[in-house]
Amino acid sequence: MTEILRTALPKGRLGSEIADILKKAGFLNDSFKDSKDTRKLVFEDSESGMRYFWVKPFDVPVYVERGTADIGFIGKDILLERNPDVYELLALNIGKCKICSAALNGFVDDGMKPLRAATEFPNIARDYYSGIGREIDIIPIRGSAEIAPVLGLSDVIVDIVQTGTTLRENNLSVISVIAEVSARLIANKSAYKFKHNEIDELIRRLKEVDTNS
Amino acid sequence: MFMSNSEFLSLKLRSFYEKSGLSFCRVKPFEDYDFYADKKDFLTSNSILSFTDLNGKLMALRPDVTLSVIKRGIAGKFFYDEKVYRPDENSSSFTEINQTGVEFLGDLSDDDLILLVRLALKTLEIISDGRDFLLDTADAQLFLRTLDGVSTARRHAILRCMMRRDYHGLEELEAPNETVEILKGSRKSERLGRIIKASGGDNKIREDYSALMNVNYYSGIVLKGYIEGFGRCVISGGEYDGMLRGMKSSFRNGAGFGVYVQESAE
Repeated sequence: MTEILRTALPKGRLGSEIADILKKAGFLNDSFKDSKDTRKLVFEDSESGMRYFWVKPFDVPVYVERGTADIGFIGKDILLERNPDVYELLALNIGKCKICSAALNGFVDDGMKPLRAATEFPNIARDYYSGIGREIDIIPIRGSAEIAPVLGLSDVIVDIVQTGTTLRENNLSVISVIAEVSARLIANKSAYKFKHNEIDELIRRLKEVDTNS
Repeated sequence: MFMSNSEFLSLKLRSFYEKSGLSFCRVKPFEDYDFYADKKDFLTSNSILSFTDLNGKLMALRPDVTLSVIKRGIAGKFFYDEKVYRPDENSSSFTEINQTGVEFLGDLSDDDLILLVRLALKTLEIISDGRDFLLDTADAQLFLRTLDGVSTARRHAILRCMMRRDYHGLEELEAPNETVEILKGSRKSERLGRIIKASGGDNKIREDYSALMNVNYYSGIVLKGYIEGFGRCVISGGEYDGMLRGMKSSFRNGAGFGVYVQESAE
């Protein structure tokens, strides 16, 4: 490694899984602590030429697009929502889930009025429903979307579904799958021009570990 | 009197373009709102800063200079140094951006394109101030030829993957092999190859199809310039014959590039 790669990691479960893969690939040493175990937000692994910082998942594309981070790891859901001008260089086999629309069991959309959609992903919801020609009223919420139809706040939700357990336990079911999601390695466009040797080597080693995991 | 870095760079570029034989071009700071409203696909944002004129007519502060240069209807080789008004993507307000640029209008030959590429390379050298720089180029026609008969929506989805170097996305879309080969660099444009060779840019210019933009507008050779250490491209442009056709302009060809002086002077 000749150039330091500044890397944005998403706090939370996805970040922990990515850190594990980076360790297996030799890009993180054992002294690295997960975001849940430390309040330190920046960590440098000088041996592998990497500098990591923990940021909120929705902020990863911002750091990368603006070039504060050369690369970052993030779920495809957030990329679809924020649509940053970045390179999307690798799809990893972790963080797999689906973005779905869901409603209370037995819900029938009569199409008579705009569909009320509660979501943390307004752009994804807008794009999807506009693509099928259905007018919607977006209700922006932050987390626990499943409760919105239960309490009558919305007709549907557009949200991440992993196992479907939370939906089932709240008497909801999937109406349609909007997109398949997994973790992505993204890169700042300018940084990739000048650090592509380092980034390509990271991708090569991540592919080996990701395939074998 | 002190000058900011961006003012200093603007002056250096103006001096260089004058010495290169380009004519200085000044355009009005505002136009009829309708002038921009039906060309939103060409603009970087759908939001246009508008105001009502004293006669009640809806006007707009220009979000882009190229359209106004075309509207003048004068053929030639020009440079400009103007302000544009665009929404700040991270706030709910508009911002003023200094933009310097070059426009060629009229019947253009490949020799004109070679000159444009040379000007872009020299511009990067001036504003990079000793740092490494790179000019990415692509030929939109080579890309479009691999997508004959493909629907507009699918073409748009494939283009989006190309711009992101998203091989996974191209695989999911089952994009034609030829398109993937273009992104990998194993299939190249002869025309662009000749232009790159004649420009004398050596290792500072590359054929890279992630540089593609809206191919309906930038329908020929595309240019994007980067400086090491700056997170965004500082030069963006290319041949916009497609846009001229869309505008029903009397010009057959148009090409140019904008320099984001504030970005490069940060």
